[in-house]
Amino acid sequence: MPHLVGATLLDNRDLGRNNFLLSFEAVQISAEARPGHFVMAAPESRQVVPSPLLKRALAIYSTGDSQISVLVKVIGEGTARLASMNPGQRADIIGPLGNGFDLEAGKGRVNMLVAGGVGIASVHLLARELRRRGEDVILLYGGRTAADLVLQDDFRELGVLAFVTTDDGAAGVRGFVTAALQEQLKVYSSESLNMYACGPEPMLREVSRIACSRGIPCQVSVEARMACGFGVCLGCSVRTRASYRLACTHGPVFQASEIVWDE
Amino acid sequence: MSPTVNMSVEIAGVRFKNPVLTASGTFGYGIEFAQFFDISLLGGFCTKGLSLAPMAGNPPGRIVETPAGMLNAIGLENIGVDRFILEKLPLLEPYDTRVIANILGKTSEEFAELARRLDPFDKVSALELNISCPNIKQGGIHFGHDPRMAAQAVQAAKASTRKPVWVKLSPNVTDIRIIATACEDAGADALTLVNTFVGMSIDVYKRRPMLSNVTGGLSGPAIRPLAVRLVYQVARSVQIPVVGIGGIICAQDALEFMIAGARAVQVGTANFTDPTAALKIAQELERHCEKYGIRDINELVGSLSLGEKTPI
Repeated sequence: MPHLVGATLLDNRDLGRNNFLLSFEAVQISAEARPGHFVMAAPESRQVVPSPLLKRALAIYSTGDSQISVLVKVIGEGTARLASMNPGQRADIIGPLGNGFDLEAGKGRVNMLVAGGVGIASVHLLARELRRRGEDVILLYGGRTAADLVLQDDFRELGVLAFVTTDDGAAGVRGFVTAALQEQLKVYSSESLNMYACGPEPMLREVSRIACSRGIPCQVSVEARMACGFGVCLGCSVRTRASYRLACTHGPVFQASEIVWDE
Repeated sequence: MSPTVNMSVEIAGVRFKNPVLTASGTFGYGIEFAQFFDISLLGGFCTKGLSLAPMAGNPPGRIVETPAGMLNAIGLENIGVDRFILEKLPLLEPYDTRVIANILGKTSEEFAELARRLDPFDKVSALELNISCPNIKQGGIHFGHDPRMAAQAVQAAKASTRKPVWVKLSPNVTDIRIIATACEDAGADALTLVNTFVGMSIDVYKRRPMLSNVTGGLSGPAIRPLAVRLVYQVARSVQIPVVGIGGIICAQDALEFMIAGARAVQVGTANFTDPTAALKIAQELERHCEKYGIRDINELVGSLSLGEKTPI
């Protein structure tokens, strides 16, 4: 059940390339958040009409010690306002929101996490929980440049085998993360794998295509513009085989095989 | 609510404990908000627009934020009136708040049928005819643009229910008073105004519309002055109660609408940014009355003083 809280910022870590890891004190959200959940957040404002008006949807990167952290990449005004917050300031946060990942799907299999850019934020709690359960986890993480590959050490600390890709080859393999996935598929049989993916839509589309063609179970966490985050604005529709579904309440995690991707 | 201030208002024989309601399309089926606050503290709420058959809505790319507001082109996605009655209405029984069922028909007959199906349920206090959705090509909006068709929809609904019939008007017309008067003459019990203003936003890099529907309805504080003016105009031209809506985000905004002539208000987009917004507005409104010695909120309704200014 989501909570609406005023949360104090405890830490704002500049990770470079316009990425910031913000930690808030949020007791209830921290206690209830599960892998794949997200929050809607905006800095507390003294303005009657804040600009921008709407909160921003952010994956919960980590939980613990009554805190949650979120990864903010500055894209526009909303993310810029969040990223410029100082410790001690407060934000209005609604969460935890969304359905979360199904962790049972990969029981006894190798769990392949495929992340592109800030999509990394959605799979960190997932990696932590899977490792806690003693599952094998591999991370394939793609970024434009080496500096975009933020927070990868957090995964290595969890005992996750991490492979990275960059557009220029400055770190890891040159090319898209899907190229790294193709490489891994030469090592692991389809039957031994379970996949999770989060990243830009073209990446999710390609990952889904690969997973579905090989019959590998694959869950994807999608992004969509949304106004509320809790199922009433109906703005964040996702096209699935059955019908339109909402990214906020039916998702953000869907089976790759359910989604009808735009070409 | 404080015993010293009367916050209750009456619209077409239905008493609301306070004048703060929430707008159709921004409050789900009510239940979604019960997880954030006690919705019994609201005067009432309007359901998501209900059609005879469920509607899937528009393809993705349904909303975009704009200065002090947002554009939406949801396309009337809803579960349909029958599922509302079966699945949602029973959940609302425990709440002591007024439920206004917003209904949308493609024809007068559909409005009549929707009214007929909802008529037996006491939990529904009134019907609000949506004759003003800008986001579907077929149905809805032509009722809102044509006074004769608006009147037919009202007559059809009135003939099929004992409940008060409100009509939610479109602002996207040359003179809203013509439609307002037509609805009143046809027997409407109250008018809700306004629905969203048609707008458009463009992705300049892709040179494509931000919304799959190309255009959408603008809501939020950006439209408030436009809406206040329309409420002011209509409240002076009809005898039936007017319910004001358009970018209300705090009690001050609600007061503007009431002073302009609205008997009650509906909070819309603010529900998205703060799910407790309507409750806060109701509480602030009462504090305002206490502070300024207003014994009865109804004193404010249409209390605008023009002084020497010439009315429009």
